Amino acid sequence: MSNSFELLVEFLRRFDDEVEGRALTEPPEPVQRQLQALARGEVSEADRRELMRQLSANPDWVARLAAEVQALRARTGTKD
Amino acid sequence: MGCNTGEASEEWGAVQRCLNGDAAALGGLRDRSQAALRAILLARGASPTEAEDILADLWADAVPGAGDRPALLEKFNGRCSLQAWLGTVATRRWIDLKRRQARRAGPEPADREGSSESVIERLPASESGGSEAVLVELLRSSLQAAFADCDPEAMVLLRLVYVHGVTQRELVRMLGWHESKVSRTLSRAMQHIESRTLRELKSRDPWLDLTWQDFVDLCQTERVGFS
Repeated sequence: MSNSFELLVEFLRRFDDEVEGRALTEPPEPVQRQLQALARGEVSEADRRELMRQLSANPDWVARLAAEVQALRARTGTKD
Repeated sequence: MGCNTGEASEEWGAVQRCLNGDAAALGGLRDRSQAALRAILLARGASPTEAEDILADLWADAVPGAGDRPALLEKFNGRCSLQAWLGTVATRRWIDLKRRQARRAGPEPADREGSSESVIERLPASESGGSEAVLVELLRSSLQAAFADCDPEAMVLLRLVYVHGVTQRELVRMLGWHESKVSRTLSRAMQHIESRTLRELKSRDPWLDLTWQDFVDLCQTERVGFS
């Protein structure tokens, strides 16, 4: 499953007219702070759903959330 | 779908020999590939006649011929298995044929009256830019429809895990969910994408029979095999 999903994302990235040539975007500051809180598990369910909706609409931002989660990994010294 | 380095090297060598005019090499390639390619087309919905005609056309175009027609095998870049590549080319051509048949949807045109030529025989010999784009567009639009229909949160979780390498345990901590809920959410989202994509494909081209693995393989070959 893992390989399939990534492969499909790469396929869309290769052939999606809308993203071709477009630079990756960073989320605005307020959203970045929310993503940090989300990574720490410190947002309410309602706020989380809204953040997820924004992330789904802006898939570039998911990399920032991943980075925040992985930064916690570095701090705690665990990956699991 | 991919092949090991030794096999890839062997395939590349065989293709180069074919392009250099080695008839025996081309015959050998055809003998090794024909049955598998025919099976691929039949499994995807082609009739035996359609499969035979598509493949005859494909082998005729494989190497340099008369005039300026580019050889089909010149487009093989060696970044995927040759069988997968040929299977994708054959599928493209078949989809293109079916689309044109659907557009015609009637008796043979008047200017062909009395002609003994079949529709297949009137296909241009060279690989048309149209057939290349048709399959990519079909795959892309079906997949985009499925992604758009997926739960937004599930899509983000799929990206976190399978594109960015976040572990499911880390998701447990982030979301406050039980590990089984994380796993179930990811699995169900992927199943939804699979079923929605295949349903979308069927709605666009009802005669095309692709399994999910076929779909994924075609996406992969289109992405890496023709750049």
